[in-house]
Amino acid sequence: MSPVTGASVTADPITTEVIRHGLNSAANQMKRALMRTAFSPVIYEVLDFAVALYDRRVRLLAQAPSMPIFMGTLNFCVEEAVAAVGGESELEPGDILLYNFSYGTGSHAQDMALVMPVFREETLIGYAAVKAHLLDIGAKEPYCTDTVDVIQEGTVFPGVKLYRRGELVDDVYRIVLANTRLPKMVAGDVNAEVVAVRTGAAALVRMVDRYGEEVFGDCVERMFDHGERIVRRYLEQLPDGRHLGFGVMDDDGIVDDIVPFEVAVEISGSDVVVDFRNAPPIQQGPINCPRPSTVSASRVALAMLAGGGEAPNEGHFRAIRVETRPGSMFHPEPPAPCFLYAWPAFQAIEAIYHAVAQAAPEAVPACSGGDICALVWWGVREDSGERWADAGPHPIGQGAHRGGDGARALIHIGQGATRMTPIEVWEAKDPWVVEQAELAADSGGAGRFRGGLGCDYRIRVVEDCWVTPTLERTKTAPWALDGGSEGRPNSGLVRYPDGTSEPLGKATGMRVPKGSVVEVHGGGGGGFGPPAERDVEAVLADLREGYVTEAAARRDYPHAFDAAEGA
Amino acid sequence: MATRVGVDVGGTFTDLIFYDDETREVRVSKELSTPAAPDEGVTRAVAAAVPPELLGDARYFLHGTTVGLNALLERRGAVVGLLTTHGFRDVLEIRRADRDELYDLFWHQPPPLVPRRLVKPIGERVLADGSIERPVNAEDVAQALAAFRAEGVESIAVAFLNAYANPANELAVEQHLRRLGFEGTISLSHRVSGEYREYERTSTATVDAYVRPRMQAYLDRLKQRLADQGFGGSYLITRSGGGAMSFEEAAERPFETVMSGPVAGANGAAELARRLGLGDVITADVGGTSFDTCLIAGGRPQLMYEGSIVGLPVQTSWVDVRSIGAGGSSVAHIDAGGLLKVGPRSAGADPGPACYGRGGTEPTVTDAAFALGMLADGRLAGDVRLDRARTAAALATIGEQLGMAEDELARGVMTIATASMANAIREITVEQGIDPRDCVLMPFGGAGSMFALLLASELEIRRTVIPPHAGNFSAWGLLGSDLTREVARTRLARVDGEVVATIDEVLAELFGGLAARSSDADAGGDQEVKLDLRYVGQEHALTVAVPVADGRLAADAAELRRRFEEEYERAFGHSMAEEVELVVVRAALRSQLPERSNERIVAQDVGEELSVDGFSFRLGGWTTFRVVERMSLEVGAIVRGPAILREETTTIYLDVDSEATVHESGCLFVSDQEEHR
Repeated sequence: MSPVTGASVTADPITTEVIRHGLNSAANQMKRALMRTAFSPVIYEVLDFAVALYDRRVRLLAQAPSMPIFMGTLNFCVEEAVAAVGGESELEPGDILLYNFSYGTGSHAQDMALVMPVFREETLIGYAAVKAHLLDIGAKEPYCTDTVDVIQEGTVFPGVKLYRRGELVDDVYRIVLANTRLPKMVAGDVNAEVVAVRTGAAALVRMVDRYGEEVFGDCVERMFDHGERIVRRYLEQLPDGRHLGFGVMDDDGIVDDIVPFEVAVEISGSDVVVDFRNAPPIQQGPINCPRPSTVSASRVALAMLAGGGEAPNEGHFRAIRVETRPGSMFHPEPPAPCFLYAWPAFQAIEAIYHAVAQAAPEAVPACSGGDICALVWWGVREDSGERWADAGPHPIGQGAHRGGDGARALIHIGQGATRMTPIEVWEAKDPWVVEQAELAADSGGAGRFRGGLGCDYRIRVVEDCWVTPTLERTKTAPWALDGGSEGRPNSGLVRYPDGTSEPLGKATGMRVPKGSVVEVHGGGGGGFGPPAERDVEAVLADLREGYVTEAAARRDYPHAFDAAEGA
Repeated sequence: MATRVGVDVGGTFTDLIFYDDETREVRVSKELSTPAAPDEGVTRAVAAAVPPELLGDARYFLHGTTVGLNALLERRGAVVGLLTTHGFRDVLEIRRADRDELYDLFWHQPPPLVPRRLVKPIGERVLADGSIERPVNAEDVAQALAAFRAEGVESIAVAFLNAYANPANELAVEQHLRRLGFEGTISLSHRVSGEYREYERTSTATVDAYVRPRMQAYLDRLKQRLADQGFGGSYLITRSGGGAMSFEEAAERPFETVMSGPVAGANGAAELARRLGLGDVITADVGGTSFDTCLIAGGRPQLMYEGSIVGLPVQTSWVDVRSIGAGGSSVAHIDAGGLLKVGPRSAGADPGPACYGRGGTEPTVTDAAFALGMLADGRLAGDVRLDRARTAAALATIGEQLGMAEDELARGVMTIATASMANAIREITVEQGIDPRDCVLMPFGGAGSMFALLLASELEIRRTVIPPHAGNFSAWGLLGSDLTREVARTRLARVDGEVVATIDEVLAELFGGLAARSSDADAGGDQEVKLDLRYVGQEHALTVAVPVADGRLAADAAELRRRFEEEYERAFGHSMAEEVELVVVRAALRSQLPERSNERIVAQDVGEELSVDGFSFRLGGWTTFRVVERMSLEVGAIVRGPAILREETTTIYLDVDSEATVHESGCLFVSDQEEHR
C-alpha cells in the first residue's frame, strides 16, 4: 500500500531532492539561530528543543536533529495553537502564537511552543514551529516529581498571540515574565525562539518564491512518498505478527510501587501498529504521557530503525499507526499530571524495541541503562544572593547487539543529541566540586557482545542546594538478548555530612546541605549472546583496559582463562 | 626582495607555486604526493620548477601539509601516555556523552587516541577559582611513569581539571617527570590551550602529544633537504587558524597545523579580498571529494575557536571552513526511496570518474559536466583525454532506472550538487547575519570554476571573482600568508570598571608568552586582541575585536559593551539590557610578509579556437560554446558567454549572458550582463 498521489507523480526527482535538501537546511538554520541566541544551557547544551517546518496542512516538511523524543510532536502544538486562536482565518502575517498546554504539546508546561504561520504576501503557506524547554514557567517547584494535576505544573498559555502582525503583544509578554522564577533567562530564551521561527519562516518563503507554489507542492508530495517508501522497505523485512514488549516504571512519583506496562507491535507487510491500549490507567503522579508524546516515542523508536539515518518528514511516519486508550497512562486526559511525561516515553522506546526483539532479535540492541538519570538543581548563591538553577542528564551504557559491544557512556537515545556540560563549566558557575566522572567497570551485561559501560558521577556541594532527582529504572535491570546477561541498573545516593545517606529516585526538592556528596551511577547496557561465546582476545582486552575486573571476567568468561592458563 | 615558494601537500598531489619578486614571474609544478615520505614529493616539485640559483634567491618557503592530519587519520602517531586528575581517568572515553550520528541506534565512539591502560589518574586538584585544593602526589607520578616506560610511551600529555585557571600542578608534574629522567615530549594542557572545557582541552593536549614526534622529525628532514637544494631563507608552515608559523614553533605546537589543508585557499581568498577591496567574500573550493566553503568578512576568514578532526576536538583557532561531501568525483546514485542523490560517496582519485577510463563505472559529477559540454572536448592538463563513451555508459546505468534522458539526468546531477553547496553557503552566512547576495563568490579548486555560475545563480550572487591558478589555488594562497602567533585564556569577569585592568593583566602575560615563542626573523608584529563576550547567563559568546595599544586595551568598559552589542545585533538582529561578561581573552601577533605584486601576464598565441555544443542552464537548452584558452588572454580582455575557458588545471564555464574580464591581478571578474544594463 503506497498512496502515490497525482501531484507526486508529476514532480521531477531532481527538484524534489533539491527541495528536500533545502527544507532540511532551513530547519538547521532555525536550530542554529535558536542555539546561538538561547540563554539557557538546557537549550544550547542539552538541546532540549525541537524546531520544524510544516506545510499548510500541518504535515512535517523538515525537523532539525535535536531532541529525538520530540520527533514529530510539533504538529499537535500547531494544530491546537491555531484552533485556540480561532483557526486559520484568524492568522495574520507576522503573528507568533505561544502554546504550552501539556495535552497539545505532549510535554510539561516548561516546553514552550512558538508557532509562526508563514505567509507569502497574504497567503498562508505553512508554519515554522519551535518547542523549547524554559527553565521555569511557574510550576509549584522549579522541577516536580509529585504533582497531582496539570495545573500545579506551570502557567498555561493555551494558544495566545505573543506577536500580532509583527508587533509584540506586551500584555502577554509581561504575563510570561511574571510567571517565572527566572525572568531574565526566560526572556532570553523566548526571544531566541522568536529568532528561530522567523529564520525558518523566511527560509520557507524563499523556497516557495524560488520554485512557485505548484512545483513546491508537487515536490513535497513526492518527498513524503520517498520517506514513506524508505520506512516501508525496512518494515517489510520484519516478520509479520503481533509481538509484546514490556516496560516498567519504578513508581508514579507519589506511591512507591512499580508500574508495569505492555506495548504490542503488530507488523503486517509494511504497516506497523504500535498498540498501547493495554496500558495501565491514568496514574496519580506525573508519569502520565499525553498522547502526542506517546506518538512521538513510537515514531522515534521506529524511525531510528527504519529511517535510513535521514532527518524525518511526514512520509516517514505514514506506515506507523499508534493506538491508545483514552483514560490510560499513555493517553491521559486533563487534569491528570504529566510533568514527567518523558520518563514513560523513554521506557516506551525500550519496550517497543523489546517487542521488536521478540520478532527479530538481530534488528535491535539489548536494553540500554534505560533512562536519562537527570538531576535538576537550584539554590541561592552565598556571596551574591542570586538565584541559580542548572540541570542535566547523566550517561548510561548502551545495549550490545548482533554486530558488536554496546557503546559506553552515552545519554539515553530519547535525548540522544544532548552534550554533557563540561565539568569546568559547571564548577565555574555552580557551587560544586565534582570528585569523580568515570566509567564503571563491570556495569555492562556480559555476553558474546558486552553491554556498554555506565558512568559513576560524584558531586560535592560547597553551598546549600536543592535537587530534584528523576532516576528511572533503578529497580529493574536492563534486559539482555539471545542469552546475554543483564546490565547494572541505575542508582543514586546523597551522602549527608553527618554520615547518613539516602538513595535517589524520583523526589522533588531534596535539600542538600553544604558538604554533602551526590552520586549518580548510570546503568550499563544488556549483553547479547551467551558469554561463553565471547572471543577470548576481546575478554583479555577488556581486562587489560580495565573495562571488566578480573573477578568478574573469571566469573563470566571462564573459557578465556581456561584457554590462557591451560596452554 | 620577497621571492617565495609555496608548496601544498595534498592527499593526491603536491602543488608548487614560485613567485619571483624581481621579474614578477610565476612558476608552477604539480607532482604526485609521496605519502610515506612527503618531503620527497616536495623536493621533486621544487626541482621540477625552480632551478637552484632561483631557489637560492628565495626568501620564504611556505608550506601546507597533511602530515599531522594523516598521523591522526591513519592512527600512526606516537605512543602517548595521559595523566589526568584523580577521578577523571575517563575524560577521553566519556567525551561529552553525545553521538556523532543522532539517528543511528548502533553508533559507537571511535577508540580514543590513548588506550585506557595508558591513562593514569594523579592525586591533585585545582578548583575553578585557581586555588589548589590538593598538590600533586609525586608517588602517583612515579608509578605512572614506571608503567609508561614498560609500555614504550614516547610522549606524555598532562591534562588536569581547571589547569586553565592555575597551571601550577601541571608544571609540577612536568618537573617530576624530567627529574625522573623522562626524555620524550611532554604536552601540558594549559600550554596548548588556556581555555576551559576539560574534554576539549585534554583532547587537544593528546593530539599534540600524538603528532609532535612525527611532525618534528618531518620538519627537520624537510629543512635539511631544502637546504641541500640551496634554499637559505625562512621556513614557514600554515596554521589551522590562518596565517603561518615558523617550523621551529610548529615543532613545539604541531596541533596548530593539523587542519591547514583547506586553510591556504581561504588565506589566499582573504588576501585578494583585501587587495582588491572585494568586501565580504564566500569561497567555493570544489575538489574531487569535497566542497569547502568559508566566509571572508572584513578581509579575514571567519574563525572558530574549536574544531574537530576525525571526531577529536582540538581547542585552537580554526578557519571556519565547512565541508560537505560534494565534489568532482562524487557519485550519483538512486537511494532506497527512489530519489536521485549525489555524494557523499566519492569515486576519489582512483578509479575516479568513469570518463577518466581508470575502471570507474559509476556516474560522477565530472561525468555529468562532461556530458553537458562543460569540459569542452575533454582534453585536460597532462594529456588526459576524457572518454565520452564511458560517461554515456555510466550515466545510462541510472538514467534508465529513472526514465531520464542523458542530458536531463546530467543536468539533475549538477543541480543537486549545486543545491547542496548553496545550502552549506546559506548556513555559514545566515549564522553570521550576512546575506549571501551582498557577497562576492570566489570559486577555486579543480572543479570550482565549473560550478561558479550555477552557484551564483542559485544564491543570486551578482559578482564572481575567479582567482589566478584556481586549480592550484591552495599553493597560491600560501604565498600571501602572514606570520601569526596566537594564544588565548579563559577569564570570567563582569564587564564593568575593573574589567580593563583584568584584561590588561591577562594581556601582559599573553603577549609576554608570545614574544618568548618568537624565533628568527619574526619577532614583533602587530598586536591584535579579541575578546569572547556574552550576556551574563548565556553560554555561547561572541568573539569581538577590540583596539590595543602597546599591549594594553585601548578601550574602556563602555566601549567593550558597545562593540559587543553592535556585533550581537548584527548576528542576531537584537540586543538585550543584560550585563555583559568576559569569557576569553585572545591575543595575536601578526607580521605581514612583504607584499607581492601582480603576476606578469603575457598573452600567448594558441592557434585556432575551437567550439563545442554545450548545455546552457540559462537558456534551458543546447547552444554553441566558444572554447577559449586562458593563456591567450591579455589584461583587460573580455570573454562573453557562452564560452568554456580552459586553464592548465581547471575549466571555467561561462553561460549565456555572462562575461569575464581579465583583471591585472590575474583574477577573472565574472558578471551577469543583465546586471550591467
